Amino acid sequence: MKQRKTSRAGLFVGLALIGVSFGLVRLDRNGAVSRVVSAVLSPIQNTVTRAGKSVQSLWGEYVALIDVQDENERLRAQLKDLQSAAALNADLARENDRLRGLLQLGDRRKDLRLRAARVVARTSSEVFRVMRIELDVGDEPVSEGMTVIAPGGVVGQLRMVADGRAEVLLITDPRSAIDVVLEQSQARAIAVGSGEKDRYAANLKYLAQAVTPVKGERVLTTGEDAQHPRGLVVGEVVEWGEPESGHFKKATLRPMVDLGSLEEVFIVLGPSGLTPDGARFETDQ
Amino acid sequence: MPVLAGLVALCLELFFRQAFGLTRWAPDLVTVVLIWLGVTRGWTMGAVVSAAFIGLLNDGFIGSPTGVHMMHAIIVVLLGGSVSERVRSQSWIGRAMLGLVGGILSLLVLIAVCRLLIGASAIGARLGDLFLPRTVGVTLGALICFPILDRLAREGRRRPEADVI
Repeated sequence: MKQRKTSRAGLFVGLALIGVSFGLVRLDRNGAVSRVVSAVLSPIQNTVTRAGKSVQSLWGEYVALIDVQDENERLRAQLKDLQSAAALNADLARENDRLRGLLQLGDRRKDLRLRAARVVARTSSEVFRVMRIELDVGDEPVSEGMTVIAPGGVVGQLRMVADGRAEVLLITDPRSAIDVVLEQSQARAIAVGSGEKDRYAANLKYLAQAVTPVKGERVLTTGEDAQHPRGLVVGEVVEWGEPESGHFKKATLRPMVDLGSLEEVFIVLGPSGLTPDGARFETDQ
Repeated sequence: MPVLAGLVALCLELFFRQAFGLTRWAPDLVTVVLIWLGVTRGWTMGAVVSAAFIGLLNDGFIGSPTGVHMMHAIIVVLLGGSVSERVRSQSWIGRAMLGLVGGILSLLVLIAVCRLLIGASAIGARLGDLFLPRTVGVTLGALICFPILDRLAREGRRRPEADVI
């Protein structure tokens, strides 16, 4: 009986409180009660929110490191791939530059018939400076003695040809000798490879004592040795000195072509019958 | 004790939302406490007043218009009280059923109260979204929390006797 009374009282109180809540919603338009409730609860709310955020941060920084490890490995693999791709791109860009240089050389010297070749090896001899090339582009015949050039100038001469491969005697090899002329003074000399161990260079022999070369003066082929076409750049004068004895001055030239990093070259097959700028020779000339 | 349990439930709910980024799937522990309160205490004055307080706290926590969750809480406790003498909340199945039915009814009551008091239909429109998370959350919450709340209630009843002794 007592339980029923209590229950009935609870129901009445409940209904009354439902009325109160209804009234609160309707009457508390200015939010006075809300503000009081919020003011009381806000310290608790703030504390719980901070705790939640701390746990979230802990979760994010430490527990989620398991995912980060997987991601890290994936990113490392990606990085390796990208580095390989970047290296390949850089290599392609360099090759592009070189090929552009070769094309420009072809445009500049239309008087020459050229055949491209790829450098495959360099000898590691202390004295002899030889380079091996592969003749994988074009099918024009090549023969020993033909001049090998690059965008910068003369590289050397074909020495041996066999099975699509050839050996180039570089201008810095002691066995190489080219009839040359200094561009400004027009003094003649013979450029003979110095065969130096630590640098690519050639000595200018039979340079007249009266000539005073200018540092950086270009040295060109004369074309009178019946081996090299005329007007090709061999190198530039880097040093000279008075002779200890004899009638000729000593000078050293540095090749214009970086022989240590060459990757493509041209073999000069012979005259094309055109002028360097591509015009046809007049028949009466 | 029920008001304290409600406050703890509110804090835990807020904590779960903050810590684990749970939104819809944050367990509705306040409803669990209210169902437990109604089922174990019936239509007693203490239960109803406690429910009103818990609802008021919920309004303060959530930022809803004061009175909305208060009315919801009272109705849920009264509904729970109406079945208090007919169901056994001691078995696992009983708890699960109470959580399942209570969760559904609680959600429907909340929608009705919002519609009645503030004319808001947004929560009604989200019924489909909320139905499963709420029901699952309250059912699991009932399975886990009812034994804890029962134990706390027993401890609370014992303490005065111990003090007397």
